[in-house]
Amino acid sequence: MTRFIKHARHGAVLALLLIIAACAPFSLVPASTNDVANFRVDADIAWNKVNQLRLESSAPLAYWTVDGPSLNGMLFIGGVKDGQPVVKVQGDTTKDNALIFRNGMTATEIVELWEATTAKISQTTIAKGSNIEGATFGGTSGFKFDFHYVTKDEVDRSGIGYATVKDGRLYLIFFSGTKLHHYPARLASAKRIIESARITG
Amino acid sequence: MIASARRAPSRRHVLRGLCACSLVGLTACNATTGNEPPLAAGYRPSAGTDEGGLWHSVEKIERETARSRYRIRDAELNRYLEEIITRLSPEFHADMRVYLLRTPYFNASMYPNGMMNVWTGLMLRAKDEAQLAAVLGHEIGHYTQRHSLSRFRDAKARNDFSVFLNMGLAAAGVGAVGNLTNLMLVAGMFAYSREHEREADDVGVTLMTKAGYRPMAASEIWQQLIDESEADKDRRSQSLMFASHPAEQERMATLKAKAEQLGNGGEGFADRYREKIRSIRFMMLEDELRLRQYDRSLVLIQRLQKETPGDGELIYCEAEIYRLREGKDDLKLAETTYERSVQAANPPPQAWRSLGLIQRRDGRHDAAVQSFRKYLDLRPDAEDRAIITSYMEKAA
Repeated sequence: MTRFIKHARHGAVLALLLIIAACAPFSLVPASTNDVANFRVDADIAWNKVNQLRLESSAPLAYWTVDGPSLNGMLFIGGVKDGQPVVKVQGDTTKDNALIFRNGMTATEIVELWEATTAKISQTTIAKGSNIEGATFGGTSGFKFDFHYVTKDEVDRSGIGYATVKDGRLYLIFFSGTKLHHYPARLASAKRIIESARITG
Repeated sequence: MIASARRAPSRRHVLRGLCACSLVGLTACNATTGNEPPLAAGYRPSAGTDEGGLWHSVEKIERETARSRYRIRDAELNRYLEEIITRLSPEFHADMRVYLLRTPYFNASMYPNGMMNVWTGLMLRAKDEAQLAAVLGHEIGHYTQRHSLSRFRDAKARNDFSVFLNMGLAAAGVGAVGNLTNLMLVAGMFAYSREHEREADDVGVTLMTKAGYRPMAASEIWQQLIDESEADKDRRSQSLMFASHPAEQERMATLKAKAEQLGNGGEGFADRYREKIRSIRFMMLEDELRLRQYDRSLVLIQRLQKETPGDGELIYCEAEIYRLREGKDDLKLAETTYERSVQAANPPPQAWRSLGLIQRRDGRHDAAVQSFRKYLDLRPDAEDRAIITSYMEKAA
């Protein structure tokens, strides 16, 4: 396990959607009701908010972790507008209209978009969604999906996403972590947050 | 990624950049005018030399490569690559090990200790075994001529380590090369690398011709790359590597002239090649589509279709590009292309699913239900059965 943790930490710079500035400060998220990125959620344990993400989105964005940003974490994306990328690396000036959300996309197409976005940001070829099915999310009809990806640090990571399109905007919460330990260890707490989520903005 | 660029690059990344000589020039072999003498078969440097130290470090990289999650472990396919290397270089084949890596870009690279990496983007793009042999022969040329060692010694002598650090990062695919100053320095080094590239090209085309392959394959594969990059003008214009490394046309012309000298003999072994890569082709196509480089991918997929007309899998991929691109009239174009796919030979079941998605978005629910049903009939264990079934229920 020590070797595993070392590998995972070594790969911090390449972890999914988690591009953090050096010396990024964290702030405590208490085990209570919290407002985050256009969601109101109930946390049953304390989390840590990463304050300086090196990702950007047209929508409010937040990232929480329990054990460390390269080990597990939950990304909140609160309402991506039609024609905008779901998320991208800050300062990425690529003239790229390929990875954008379009109102009217099906769940299948949104998961395809998430696969391609993950592949680009994490510089990986192994990024696959599965088990897409309808689910209530954010107090409305949405869907959920499982996810598997391998970052360039060669660590297998698992993820679970819940999403919905409301008023033409995409709302997504995605929890992921190292497959062997940090994903299963915090999945229950992550799910409680996701299932409690209400859309506020 | 970005954070890593702020840290000192790891030793592994630097070594990858320093040691690997690759085909494309993204990890260009930095030439030196003072070339090393060619290798002798079975050669291994003594541990106390700089070359011995270089090999030792690269062996660590090789151990990591051997257990990489990106390695394609298909035994038959790996054996096939080894057979091509044996055919190309009976003298040195026992000194080389080839690793096939799941990376959807065109590249192969050679390390000083005989480790060769081949990326799946190359396998997808090679038209036949002769084209693949041309690239592998080129890499063997880097190995036998000890270009990595020249490059290593040259870097030390010129004290250009800062540039190499950045090239090391680029070579390892870690991220941006750095600031403009460094980019300009790197660009200068790309120009400086041509001597080794020319030499490796020359060795490669000679080896492949001796092995019975058609020599013209070497220049063809460059032409194919040029066609792809020209289709992708936006990305090309953003790439300093292309801006500073305009040698593709020149290399292609040189290889063509060399092939003309060598004559029109040799075989391509296209059927054998297609059969051998069959087990991973759909995965490679999906990886290509996930890059969402629509214009570039379209050139590739349409070329592959010309080589194997009526291939439902390739027609499906073309339709996928239109569906994902979603430009003006693209969805209509995608629909007619999916329809061609499902009527062609060997279409993937996913063609019916994608057809259903378009029909659903267009409000043609009955047609969508029929398409989704066909998909689930053809793929009863589909992992997305639940969501597809929900689409059908909503339509009903």
